[in-house]
Amino acid sequence: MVGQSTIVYTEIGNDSQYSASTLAEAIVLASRQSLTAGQFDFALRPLTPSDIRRAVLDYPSGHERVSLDTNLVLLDTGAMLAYAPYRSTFLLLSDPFKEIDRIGEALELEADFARIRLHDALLTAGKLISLSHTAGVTIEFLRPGNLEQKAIPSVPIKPEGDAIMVVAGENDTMAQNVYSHLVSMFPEQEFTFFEPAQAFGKPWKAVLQIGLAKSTAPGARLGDAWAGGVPVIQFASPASIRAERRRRPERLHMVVAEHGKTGILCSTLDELRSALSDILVDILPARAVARSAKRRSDPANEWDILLKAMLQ
Amino acid sequence: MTVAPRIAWLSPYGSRSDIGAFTRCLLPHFAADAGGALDCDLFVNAYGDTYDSPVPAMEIPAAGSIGEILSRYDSVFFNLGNNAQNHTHIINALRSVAGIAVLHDFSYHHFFAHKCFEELRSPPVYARLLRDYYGSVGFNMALRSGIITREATLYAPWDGENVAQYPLTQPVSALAAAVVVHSKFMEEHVAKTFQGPILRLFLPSDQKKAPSPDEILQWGNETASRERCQFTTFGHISRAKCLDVIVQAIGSSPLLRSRGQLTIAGNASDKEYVREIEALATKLGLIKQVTFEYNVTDERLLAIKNETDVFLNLRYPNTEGASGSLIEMMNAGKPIIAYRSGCYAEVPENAALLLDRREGLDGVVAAMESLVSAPERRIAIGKAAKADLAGRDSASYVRTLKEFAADIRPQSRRRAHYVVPARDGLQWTSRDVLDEDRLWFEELTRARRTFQLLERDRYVQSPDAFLNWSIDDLTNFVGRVLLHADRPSGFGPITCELRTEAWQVVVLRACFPIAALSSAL
Repeated sequence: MVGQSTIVYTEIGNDSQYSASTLAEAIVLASRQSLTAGQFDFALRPLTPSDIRRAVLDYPSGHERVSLDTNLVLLDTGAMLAYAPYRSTFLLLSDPFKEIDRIGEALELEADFARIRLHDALLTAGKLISLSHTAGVTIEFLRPGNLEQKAIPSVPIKPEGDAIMVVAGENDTMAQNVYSHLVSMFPEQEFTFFEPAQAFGKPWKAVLQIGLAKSTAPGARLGDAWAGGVPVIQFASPASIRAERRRRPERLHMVVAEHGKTGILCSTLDELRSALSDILVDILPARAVARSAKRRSDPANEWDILLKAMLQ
Repeated sequence: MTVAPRIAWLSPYGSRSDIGAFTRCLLPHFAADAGGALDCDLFVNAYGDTYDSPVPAMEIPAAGSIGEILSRYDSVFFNLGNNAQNHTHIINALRSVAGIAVLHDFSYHHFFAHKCFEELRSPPVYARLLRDYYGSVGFNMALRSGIITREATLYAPWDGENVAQYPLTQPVSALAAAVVVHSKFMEEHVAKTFQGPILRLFLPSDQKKAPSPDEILQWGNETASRERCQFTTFGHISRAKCLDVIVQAIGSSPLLRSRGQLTIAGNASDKEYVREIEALATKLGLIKQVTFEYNVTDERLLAIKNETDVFLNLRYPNTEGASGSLIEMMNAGKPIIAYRSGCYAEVPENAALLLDRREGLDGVVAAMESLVSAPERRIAIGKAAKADLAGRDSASYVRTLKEFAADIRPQSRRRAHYVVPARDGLQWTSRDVLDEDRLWFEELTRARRTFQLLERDRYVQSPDAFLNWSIDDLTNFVGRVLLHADRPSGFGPITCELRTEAWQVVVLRACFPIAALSSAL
């Protein structure tokens, strides 16, 4: 018999690109469809501002609480404030300290009180899982050795659209220059810079990744394009790829496409221009590569890993 | 058939703590009819061998996680002292359920020092604790001692002469629903901060074996005719016992050198100090006058009490709520020389020779000489001391304790409801707190949170300090404590700034060259 888990979230002041409710629904879906379906039983508990204010009054910090039959999984700052004294599992989509003042204000909580309570919540948490690199960096200092860094499992973006999504890597200036160049070179083609709100809203012809794919934002990752079967074109210098291979070889496959297997890799601007020209004439070779990439993509397994990290 | 109320009694229960002997002498009386029979279960903070128990007994789990079980009792008694080994599990249990705390010590500074420096190895945690409970004055005392900085440590505040100003009793007593103390001095101290009922009792006189009335009478007949005067001090040998003063007193007085004999008996808990005292006696040529007897049995201690003409029980600093050794000495029917401080000051003037510590060595010498020269005074003081203990035995202690527990039972049951960790199956919220418990609950919350922060925020990153402390204290804290202490790798200006934003920047500006700060941020 599996224990019941309850995912608690709010949407107040959430500045994450991937909202807490989206994540909550994705977790529930994954728990029913993943390889370990049936092992996890999730319920959703969205909180209103008045729920949070009442919980803050009812559950003062200092008196630790446990929810034995129901594992509480807290997804955002509002939920952390409400259930601060609970020994629960935190899934961090972003650094909660960056948004605490705004959320405190929205909840009509005194700013210092909210900040201290959030801190208490992080100290009391039974398990901390960061889905954001920046959140992980700041929280790691608070609970050294107690933070697990995980990625949000791949979220498929839709294929077969007209526009090409341009994702900037580490160097925004370079991305802007390349973008301007391409816009002038291919005036017929629509290029759109990555926007979190739009990434999943419409289908895409391809994703053009400029530089190494370091962004952890859903929609901007190579894995999201692969999972959706959207062709990937990546423009990255061999030097930066070599440097990444030396620094973090285990993550290389997540930030660089493998030419001909998971994407079309271009190391010069001429190569990129040529590749785009070909794709605009005939998309089929790129789609063939995208199909190959999709076969390699395994979101169900990624969810399985995350669910186990959360609950085992 | 009437079912006797059930009580849980949490205590050390071995020879390593006097509180073990205290408990051993009380346990048989709980089932007695006097004051109403109680059904007592003993929960032992095991440390070393334990005594055999006349009631059902079990060891307290290391995490102290028996709050829910304890909350089922009619009354729960927690015997608290400042020794971490003997009391950690008891205090952990008290953190989970508010019961009746029997406070044996006046200062719990040793307990917290052990937690901060031995368990957590975190000077910043200690600094925050003192700042939270004693404000800027306490924090700056810790700074000056050097114990929290990387500068040389000048003294340990928990052993310092000023420990009475920083006893750290409040975070312990606030965990309780009610408190029992053993002296007026302690009662007055606890009453300043504790929001609940306080019972003043006494240490039972029959806790340890004492000379019989015949033996005391025989001593009275012989002591006057003896040329030599036998002085004795016993108990855990530590710097607070002022043994150096006693040895120096004998060394500096021709009368005491020629007619005095000193026996120092007890557990050599502070070995460095023991060596120091032995060396002092040798240096002063007092090898024949001063005798050391370590780890004596109860039988040998009784023999020593019988041989004694005058007891010495100097104590400075005084961290006890009541003195077991003082009661033992009074119960032996012999005179005692002690400093007039803390619980010692409550002994009637005719029942001990009380000194003002400011009189220094001369005062001790004069007191010892006066008793050497006046055997009839020795007998009179001893008789008054023994008489003062009349009615203060374990049966009387337990009877009064039962009455107190019965009187406050509705309140203590109500307060025991706030068990932590609060499980959803036994849910409670702050809405359940009655108005009459509101102030008490606030202090309970503060104390529980203090312990949580101690254990979980060992790098002191909580924003409290940065939001509430004065800028001077913050500057010193960051510059002299935090940044020199052990901390997670990579922790520095940037992470501090993220945690506390503008406040931290202000502090960092005070601690770092502006250029270095700018480049870091």
